[in-house]
Amino acid sequence: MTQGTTSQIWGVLFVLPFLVLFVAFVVVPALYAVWLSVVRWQPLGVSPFVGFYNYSKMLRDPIFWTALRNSFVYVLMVVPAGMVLALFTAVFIYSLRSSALRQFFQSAFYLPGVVSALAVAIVWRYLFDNEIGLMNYILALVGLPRLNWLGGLNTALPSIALMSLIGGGGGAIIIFVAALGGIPTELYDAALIDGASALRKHFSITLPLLLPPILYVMVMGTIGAFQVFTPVYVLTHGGPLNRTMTVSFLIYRQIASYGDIAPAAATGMLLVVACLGLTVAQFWWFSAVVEY
Amino acid sequence: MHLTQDSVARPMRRRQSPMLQRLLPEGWLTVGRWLTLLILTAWALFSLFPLYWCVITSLKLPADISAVRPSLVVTRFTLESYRQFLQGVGYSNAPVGRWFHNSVLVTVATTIGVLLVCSTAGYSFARKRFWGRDALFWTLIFTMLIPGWSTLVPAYVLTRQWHMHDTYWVLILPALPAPFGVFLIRQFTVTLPDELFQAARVDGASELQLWSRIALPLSRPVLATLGMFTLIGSWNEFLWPLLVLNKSRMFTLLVGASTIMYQFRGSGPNYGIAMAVAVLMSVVPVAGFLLMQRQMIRGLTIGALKG
Repeated sequence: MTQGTTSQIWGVLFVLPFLVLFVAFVVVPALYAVWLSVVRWQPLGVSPFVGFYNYSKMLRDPIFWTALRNSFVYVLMVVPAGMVLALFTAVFIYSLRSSALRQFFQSAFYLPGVVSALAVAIVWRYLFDNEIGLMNYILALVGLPRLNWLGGLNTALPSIALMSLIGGGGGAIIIFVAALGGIPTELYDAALIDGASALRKHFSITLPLLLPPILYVMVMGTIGAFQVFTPVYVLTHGGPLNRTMTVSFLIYRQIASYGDIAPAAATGMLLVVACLGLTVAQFWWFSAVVEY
Repeated sequence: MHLTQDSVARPMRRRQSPMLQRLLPEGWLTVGRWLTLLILTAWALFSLFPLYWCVITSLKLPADISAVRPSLVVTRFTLESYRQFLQGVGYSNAPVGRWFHNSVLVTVATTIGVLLVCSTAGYSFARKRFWGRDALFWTLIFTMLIPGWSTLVPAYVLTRQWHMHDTYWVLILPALPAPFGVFLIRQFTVTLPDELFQAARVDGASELQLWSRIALPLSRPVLATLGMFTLIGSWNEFLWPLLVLNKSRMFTLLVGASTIMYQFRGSGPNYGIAMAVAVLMSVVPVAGFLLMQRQMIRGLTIGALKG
């Protein structure tokens, strides 16, 4: 039918702007990334193919392993705690009777996330200041010794994690509240009849049905936390003796300070592999936990 | 109602909200309600405290800021920090006004661009049939899982080779093909009734008019939501502009502001100015969010629960 073909052609036409831009700025770079990582890149002239040289150079560089370890540790510090906090907050919000109040609290918790990570980092730079920062003032008030929050070898990374936990999680809270709303109330009625205790109700009904959103938040949260950049850039710039050097900051430094394009590309690929690995691991763990 | 021990022993419970009954332990209900509110309020205040601290510090006198005992309220009010920032005090004539201008321009252009590009693509995925349509759509969605860093280095190199660094285009164009945008619009457009389009077709509407006269006006809510997300996201962009902009006069507000934090690294930042900067760069996102909270929250849940 003529109408069908015209419709088809228009279908393609409508998608074209998006596709062209997508190919130009996502697909081409992605492919180029692979190529970049296997050559010794020259700005002018031919870049010779060097196989896995860039990868082995990175894998032999201790800084890479430091960065990888720091990124993992940061994820471990931020994701589980953040999710538990978000879940509890969501349950509390959901239990409110007035929908206006629910809306209000969801907005209140999301607000810190709307502000740029840069602004948040700037504020925390002040909060963590050794002399006039509020954090040390609070410690002094309760008689504890001051901490070198951002400069201390063992406190730098946890400080950044702390910053993320307070005021983070707004998006996760909203998702969980919506998910809680999706649980059919008949299930709870049945549990009530069977005389289930509150705890049992939560473990047998709420948690299993929340598993898909929990998985989603966990995966997205992990990918995001693994790539943390702005706080590191503003607060510690890689940290005292590379204690806050994360993989993303390493890549940034490779590009910006050294112009090491090819190693940066290789590191980028390794970062992607690590993220995919984490994602797959989480999916696996979840399918092992879910019973049905 | 079923004669369980609960309903016989405590008949009053039935007057309470059914939701509470299901979620909190039985003994807590009356106290529970106020306790919940208290805990939530406390935690919310705690989460929002850094923002509060930022605003009041930006309004304090420099002497009060470096005081050994910082105060939680502003006793003496001043706009000195803002004045200093906007006039470029202490950091060698940075073109602050220009930074604002750049941010506004890039943000507006990106938002309009994203709306155009994603609304056409989303419409097509929803209502048009072509070979490979669904496969293409879900592949696009799948790419959202891939970390952005994978394309950062090559995009940096490519845009440099294409002489795009230090232009506005390098900030606008890569942001336009947003899978999330296409997803939102497509999910919305499939809910539009077919009859509307059939009727318009009968009336002789062209393909373009079907999109512009029917789909687009009806999509206003989702377009507004997507627009606001894009606006906020574009304004808050930091890493990419940081990498691809080298000339001070092309900086966006955020990048320029970060260089200020830098200038002070040796002696410790002038926190008054830093807080003023943080406030100024947050006005647009906060205002935008407050305007469209409801829609944005709904947009978030659609993205997550269907994905």
